[in-house]
Amino acid sequence: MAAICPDGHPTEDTEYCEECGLRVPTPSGARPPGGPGDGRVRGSTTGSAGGERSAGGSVGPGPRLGPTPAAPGPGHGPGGGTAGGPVRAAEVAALIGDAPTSAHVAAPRAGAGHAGAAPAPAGSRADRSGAEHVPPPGGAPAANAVPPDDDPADLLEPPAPTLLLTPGRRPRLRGPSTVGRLRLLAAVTVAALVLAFGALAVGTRAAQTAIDDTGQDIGPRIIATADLPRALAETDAHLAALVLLGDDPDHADERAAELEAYQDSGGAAADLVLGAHDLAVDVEGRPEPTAAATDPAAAAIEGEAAAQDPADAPTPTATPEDAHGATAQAIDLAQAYARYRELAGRALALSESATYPAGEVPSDVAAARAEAARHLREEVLPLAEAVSLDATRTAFHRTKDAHDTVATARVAVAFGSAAALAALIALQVFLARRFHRTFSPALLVATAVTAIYTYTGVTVMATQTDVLTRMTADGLVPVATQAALRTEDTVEAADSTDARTGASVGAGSLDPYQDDPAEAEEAAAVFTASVAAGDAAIGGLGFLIPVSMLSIAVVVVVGTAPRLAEYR
Amino acid sequence: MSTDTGTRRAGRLGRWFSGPRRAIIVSSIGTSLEWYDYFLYGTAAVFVFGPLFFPESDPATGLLLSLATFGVGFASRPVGAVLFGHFGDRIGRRDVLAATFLVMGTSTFLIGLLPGYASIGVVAPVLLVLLRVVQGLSLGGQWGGAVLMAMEHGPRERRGVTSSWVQVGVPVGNILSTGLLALAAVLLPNEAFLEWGWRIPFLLSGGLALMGLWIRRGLTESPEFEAMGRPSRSPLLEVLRTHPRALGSAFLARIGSDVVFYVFTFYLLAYLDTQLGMDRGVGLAVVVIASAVQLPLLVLYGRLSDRWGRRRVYAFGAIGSGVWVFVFFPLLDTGVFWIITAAVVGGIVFEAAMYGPQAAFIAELFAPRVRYSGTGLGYQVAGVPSGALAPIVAIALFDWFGTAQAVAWYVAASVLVSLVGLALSPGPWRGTRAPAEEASARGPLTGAAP
Repeated sequence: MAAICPDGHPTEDTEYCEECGLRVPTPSGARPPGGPGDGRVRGSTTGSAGGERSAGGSVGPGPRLGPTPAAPGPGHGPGGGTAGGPVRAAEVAALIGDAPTSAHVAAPRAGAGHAGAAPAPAGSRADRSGAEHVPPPGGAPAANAVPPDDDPADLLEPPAPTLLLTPGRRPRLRGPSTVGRLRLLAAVTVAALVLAFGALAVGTRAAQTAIDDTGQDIGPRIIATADLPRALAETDAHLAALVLLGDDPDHADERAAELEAYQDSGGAAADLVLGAHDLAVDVEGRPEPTAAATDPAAAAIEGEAAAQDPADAPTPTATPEDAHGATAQAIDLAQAYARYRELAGRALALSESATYPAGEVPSDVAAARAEAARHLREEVLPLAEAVSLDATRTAFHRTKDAHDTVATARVAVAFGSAAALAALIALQVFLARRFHRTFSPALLVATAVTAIYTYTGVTVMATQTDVLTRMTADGLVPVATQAALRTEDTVEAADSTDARTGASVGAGSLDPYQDDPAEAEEAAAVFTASVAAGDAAIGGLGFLIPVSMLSIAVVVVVGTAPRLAEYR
Repeated sequence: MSTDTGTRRAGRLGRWFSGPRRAIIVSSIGTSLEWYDYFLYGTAAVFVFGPLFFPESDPATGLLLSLATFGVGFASRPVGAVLFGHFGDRIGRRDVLAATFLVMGTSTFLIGLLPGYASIGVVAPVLLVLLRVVQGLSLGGQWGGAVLMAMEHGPRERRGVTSSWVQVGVPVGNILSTGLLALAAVLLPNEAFLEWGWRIPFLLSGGLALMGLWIRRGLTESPEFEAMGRPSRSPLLEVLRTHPRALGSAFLARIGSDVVFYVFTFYLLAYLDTQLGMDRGVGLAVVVIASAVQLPLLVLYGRLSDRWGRRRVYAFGAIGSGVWVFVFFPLLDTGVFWIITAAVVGGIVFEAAMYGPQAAFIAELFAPRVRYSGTGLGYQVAGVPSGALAPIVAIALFDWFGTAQAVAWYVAASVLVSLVGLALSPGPWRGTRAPAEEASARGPLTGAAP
């Protein structure tokens, strides 16, 4: 606290009181030479009209008030000079224990008289109003104005700055001034808003990142990769059929259809293997380095895929040297798949070169086909499952992190918004009491916007936590679980097909590989719906949050600034 | 020297922008912005609000629901007229007018900040409807205040032209809202427009709220209000008790003008779209052109009403509209852009003859102590059966009879109602009747003045 005004208000402003607007007396030690007196300076500076209400020291023992009693100004201020040297008079009066000498008891502005003016006649207003109109000390001294037990030296000691003494009242502690409170409440409001909207922004961003990352990119690829076992199973089934049919001219049409189906499913499987590769790279956050030239397996896949549709042929991007973890696993998968196609191609070639009726597969052809099937179930499928599960696990962890961030943000939004609302209401009440205003429209708007965004923040954060939970728990995890089950089925089916190689043409059908995809599709649908809901809930908030924050801040300023100006 | 010149220029400008002129300009600008806010909602309801606030329903239902919220604004306007009219007659026109601007600007601004259904669920459309209600309340209270501020500040013999400047707010607001929203739609990608672009014109309405504050500082109270002595304790009851004929006259006279306007503009869009299969942009362009033509006509007719009398000009517009509407639909059926434009502009020429002098016609019917309530009530209550229902009735009639002639007869009947309203008019309130008006008040539709 910097000073106390003539009316006793503690004020930070050293020139004018923040509460009542009166000029604050210059502290004695800091008074410039020739400056206008002490705490009674108003009396001495208000000019020649002073003295008309100077009123007597006869009002009795004014309590010691104010911080700068009888400050001995070294020179005469302009008012002091014209008033006949009140500073010196005050000094003397203070030293002899005669002066109440408080800035607090100085006459009010309207009646501010000369500090050094003559005592007011008996019956003046000051007489009637008691100590509040105790004259400036430069006036006629009243010898009995100070209790005899008061040490005159005490009068020079400023009281504790927060202690306000009002004549006739018990001392009481004062809080911050009106202006200070207004500023404090506005600052608290803005700080709470910054907390609430900051948390909302952080939570929204975390959710948006998780949705973009897992929902728009990794998740769909996980779902797609989950189809890999099925695509592989189809490929293998068509291979088995081709081997069983052989080059039998009676089944030429069937063979042509199976060959086309084999190429289609093989191309689809190749696409999915490349998708798994891309997925692994994305999950690991690896840069996408070089091309297929350094990766024979990927190059083989690429060529195969390009044969299906050159325009859509994917390009593998990681090199074995750069790869690690999931990426390496994906490359292993690609290489294993390439090896499978190689073995399958060999079995087909043998089948085409040998002449046998449908169903009577020669042993070397059967052995080549069996080797391909064994490679499929022992190498390719486990790797495919591992890639899918790893990606799912990573996505799950990332989503969980985002979920935790959003949940924390939700709490912060709730607390910050509640604090902001409380501060706004307090501000409103304060203005209503202190400035006699029913309400401030600007603050009412700020309160309404804050309330809307409190609800919005809490609701959106709740939606996001729910979305993130559903995305993984009800979406990706069941999808991955189904993929694992399907892999098991595929292995079993491959074994079964392998065992029946020599039996009949029918063994090449897809029947052994059929599973019920409904659950996986349902889970995938839940995942997609969750992502859409999360995206829609956030949509527009990227624009609305800063605009609302700015609007509320502007409105709070608009609502309080006129009051501050009015007060000054 | 240059400082002196600048000071003199500022002084001249200050003198020019003072007194009645200031009141008229401020009222006119404020009303334009008020209508801008009001129409903005209607345009956004067609293009944005359906998917954003009513996504659970199918697109057609969503559009209907969003248009229903548009209609809610009509229903709340009479309530606003009563509410703000009460205070306008008791504490003064200026502060209440400023309050309506604040309320409208704030509610429109808040619509711009409103999250969608996907973010906060059903609370979003509920808040949208609530804010629409507030918009309606504000508009209901604003129009009367603006008219009275313009009219009561101006000279008595020029009330027609001074108050017609307030009427200019309708076309200006229409052009502004359609133009700004179209500009945002053109400049932004569709996704960005739907996500946040549409909000910008709404957020700009914060300026209207600031204008409310400016009005409070910059305008003086209406001289007639200040001169009227003790205000009425209950202006609504008093106006119902003492001015029933004036209220009835204002109500009936308004019917035709509103029906004509909404058929020539709003129903036009539906007709071009559904009956002629034309692009919606054609209708919007025609409406904007017609609004631009309407601007000077309103003032012109206001001025003419000062010379020839309100009822005479008003009746010219009513009769002209009633005749023109039978030409209107055949012209539309040609499907040629310029002929359609000519048809709408022709209709607006007659409609403006009703709407231009309408403000003065209605306001003069009431004594100053209840004028705010009476003017607002007479104007806004008529908007419910005429403005709000006109497009719906027109669509229903067309479906029912299968011909646009049915709609034309509906318009003709409505202008007949207006003529009855004019005939029932008691004339300007006697306590403030000017000598020129005195003669005109002797008989309906006769004499040199209304």
